[in-house]
Amino acid sequence: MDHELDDAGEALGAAVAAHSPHRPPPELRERLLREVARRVRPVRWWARRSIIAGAATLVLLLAGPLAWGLSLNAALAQERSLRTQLEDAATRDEVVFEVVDARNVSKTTLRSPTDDSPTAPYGKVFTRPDMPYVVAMSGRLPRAPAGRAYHLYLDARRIGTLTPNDAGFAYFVFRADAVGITYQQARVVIEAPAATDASGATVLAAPQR
Amino acid sequence: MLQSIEPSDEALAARVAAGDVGAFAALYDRHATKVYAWAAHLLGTGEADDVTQEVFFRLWDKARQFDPARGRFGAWFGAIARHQILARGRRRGLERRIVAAEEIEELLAQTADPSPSVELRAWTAQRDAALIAAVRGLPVEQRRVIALAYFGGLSQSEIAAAVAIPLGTVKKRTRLALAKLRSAVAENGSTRASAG
Repeated sequence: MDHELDDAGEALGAAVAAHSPHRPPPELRERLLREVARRVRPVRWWARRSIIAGAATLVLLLAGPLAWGLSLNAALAQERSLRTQLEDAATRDEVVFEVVDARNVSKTTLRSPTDDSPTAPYGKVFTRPDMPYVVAMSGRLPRAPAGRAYHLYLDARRIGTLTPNDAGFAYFVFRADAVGITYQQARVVIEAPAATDASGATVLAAPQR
Repeated sequence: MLQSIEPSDEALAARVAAGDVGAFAALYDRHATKVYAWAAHLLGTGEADDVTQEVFFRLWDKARQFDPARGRFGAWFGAIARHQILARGRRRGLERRIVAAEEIEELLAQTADPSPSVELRAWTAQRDAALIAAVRGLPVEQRRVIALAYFGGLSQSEIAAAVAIPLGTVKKRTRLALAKLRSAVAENGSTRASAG
């Protein structure tokens, strides 16, 4: 039975960690890392040469899949990054998590139409078919120049303003008149704060659905 | 810089096997609370320090033995932790293990703490929420049997005696609970969660 228990152990361990008041003290981590670092043995020169040769071959063989994997990981990391910042910013706004964490959440990713580098700004729009809320957030969005603001439009409707903090993170919650919000296009436009016609430049956009 | 790449547990374990201390630290951050919390309930916080340290030293020493083709890192590492914690727990006697397992079982029945650290909450939300829900969603009698077996290390006969139910009932409840948890792990466990 032990083997079967171990297979389920991931769930049981996660549940205990989430519920228990006990947390490992920070000094335990430091102590462990110090000791482990002490155990690392220097690599001999011939071993190092073999490692470098092997790594070079591996890089050549895996360049394609690796690039794909990195791009996937980068997207996931972006989401985690947004998520962590959201935790910081919205701890009192539980509706945000009711939307973002829902199993039936619908999510749209917004990307810069002009910058596809790993440091490009990005955004996410979350909705639930059974709730009247839209949660929108951005990452790595530079501060808007004076007299300009980032507005999120769902189709032709302006639903909110993203005001990035120093880290480029911004979020807001929009409450619609009814549940089941649907839209064909989402985009973030930089324009005058009072504008409502999406007349400015598109900073982030999602492909048309 | 906001961007960071978060590799799977399995990828980190491979790096630990190659002597990567950073990967070891990442695995510690992901899994230390699971080990420590369990040990603290069973052995007390003083000994929890020691046993957590021992478990992670074993991870460092044995990472080369982990083979992702044979199973998930979570199951492999969980087995190491379980072995270490229960080896010490057995010295405390059956009664202490039953009390600790019952204590943990009561915790599992509650709603998750709404205010853990930001990092834990973010990680939990990304990866473990479905697993936690699966544990909480077990019928109380199944969860109790599993808690006694997993966290207390009781055999099925010992559980039957402790809970005063027939051995056949223990086996049935265990089988049902494990099937549900394994299914949750298969859907939401380390490999997939780390990738998504």
